Amino acid sequence: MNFFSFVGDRWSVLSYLAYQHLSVVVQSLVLAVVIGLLLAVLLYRSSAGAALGNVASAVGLTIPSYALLGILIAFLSNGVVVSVVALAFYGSLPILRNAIVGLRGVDPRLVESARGMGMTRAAVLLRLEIPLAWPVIMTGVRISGQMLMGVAAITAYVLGPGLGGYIFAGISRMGGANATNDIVAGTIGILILAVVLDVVLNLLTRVTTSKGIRV
Amino acid sequence: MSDSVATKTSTSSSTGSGGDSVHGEQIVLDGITKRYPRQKTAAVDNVSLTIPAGETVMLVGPSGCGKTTTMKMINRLIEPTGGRILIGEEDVTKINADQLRRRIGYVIQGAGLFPHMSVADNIALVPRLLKWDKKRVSDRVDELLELVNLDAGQYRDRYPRELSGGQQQRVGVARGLAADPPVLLMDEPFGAVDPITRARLQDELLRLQDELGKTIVFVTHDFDEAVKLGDRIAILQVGSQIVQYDTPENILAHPADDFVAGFVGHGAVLKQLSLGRVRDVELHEAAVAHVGGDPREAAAKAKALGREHVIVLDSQDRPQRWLSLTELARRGALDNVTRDRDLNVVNTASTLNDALESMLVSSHGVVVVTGRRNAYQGVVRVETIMAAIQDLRSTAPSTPEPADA
Repeated sequence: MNFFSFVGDRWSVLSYLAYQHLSVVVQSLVLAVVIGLLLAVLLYRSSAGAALGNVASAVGLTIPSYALLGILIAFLSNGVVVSVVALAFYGSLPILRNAIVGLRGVDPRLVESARGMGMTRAAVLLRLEIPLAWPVIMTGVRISGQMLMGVAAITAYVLGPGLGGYIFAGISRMGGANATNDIVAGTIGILILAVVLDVVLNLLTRVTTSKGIRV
Repeated sequence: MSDSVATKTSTSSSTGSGGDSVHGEQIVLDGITKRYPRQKTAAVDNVSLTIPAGETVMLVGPSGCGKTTTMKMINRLIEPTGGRILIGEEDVTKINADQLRRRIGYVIQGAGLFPHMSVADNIALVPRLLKWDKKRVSDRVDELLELVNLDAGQYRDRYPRELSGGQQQRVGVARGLAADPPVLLMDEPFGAVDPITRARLQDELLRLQDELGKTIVFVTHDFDEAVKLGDRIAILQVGSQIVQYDTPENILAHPADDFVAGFVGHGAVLKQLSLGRVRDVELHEAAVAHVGGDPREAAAKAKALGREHVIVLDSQDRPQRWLSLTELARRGALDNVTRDRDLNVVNTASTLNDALESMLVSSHGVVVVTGRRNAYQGVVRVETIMAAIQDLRSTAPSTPEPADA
């Protein structure tokens, strides 16, 4: 069967799965941003905290996603919940690292000048440090977005939502009718979604970054 | 003291009587000490200093002497470990530090402008912290931009990176003055700009201070800057120990010890020249024309005065450029006169040294003098300056190291 007629025949299913895939990635990414930023704000002020954050980020990313999913499914029986937890976990790591780098990169003289004008610590964080670190933080968000597109495919292992199921089905029926079409359709779908998400995040970064620091 | 060239002590009293009220408040440092943990010697050791309301006090000393630490204890960016600080009548060492800082202007080297905020938003920071209403904030921003000689319409919405170093520093000063604080702390504010821009910024600060009468604490390592800007100079040694605290004239004439003498350096007499101000010498009238005026009438006036050039002013009396009689003879010569970027102008608070320097680079032998809001006041002639300098030298107090200049 020709690939295009294969996709055409299954368009309603494929487009629904693609929507699910994008949805779970975007929702997990939002969670990841919140978790990553909160951790970074707690850690960035001391060099020990920053080092801890960097190590945690590096080590966390080396955990094989299969293994993490296997462990999580033992505790949380619902595949969707496990998928979201795993995606939020992986997604928060690059954001954590970039946010720490960005926040620590703010010129300390600016911070002192802000304090000298009577801005509170919270005001300095919200109105000076985060806006200046924002492009670096958003770079982390984009890296996470790309990574989560791939990881989300693997969550099909615990019956998570999205296009991963197609790829898994194809692999398990290797050599059977349309097995290759299954794998290729799932993969191309994910690639397209990844490009769309990256374009959107890129636009979002531009819109939310002050003109005064845009490169 | 000379009669014709009043030195700064006498001029500051004359401006004081000139009707400008003093808005500053007195600052008293009472035995303040800063001791860092695990360090044997105190960074600032039991320093007492009284800074009179409305005066500019320069803290000068070698690097590491504790002058910046001393200044930062006034707005408590560094908390003193001992002693009291009074601003006005109030002991500020116990009150909320953030509230305190909103009442103290703070200007640092390189201005410290927030790059992600527009010029207007930078200036509006403290007024917004004080919850001023929108209209009042935006009026104040425009007023301050005009005060530091930046066109509000042109610069309000720019970002710091679109400004030159000197312009950034002006915005920094405007931001420090935004909530009209009685006290202004300046930490080597002009250290990061080129010498010509620095001289111009110093002149503007003198002019501003004439209008505003703030209490200014100014940290610098440049003794010449201290002489030029200070009503008083405190010379500090390691541990922020005050070696001498006096007017520039007295420090130049009678250094307290070898350390101060070394700091004052050679040529103390020459340094006194930067104490003379343009407002202390006689100004002359130049032939004046206004943009949009009648060129023939202007030329006739210039000829009546025996002048070859006229200075063209805009509608707010701001000098734009010199025009020769030949140029004036052209049809519509006064219709569209743009500002000459190289026009040399000094203001009434500029030093005689600066005026002389401007003349040396201009081809007119005179330099245009401006007063408030850059309005034209007159011109200074090179002969006037030379006479004033002669006068100053002949009456300068003797120094331990007479300069043979």
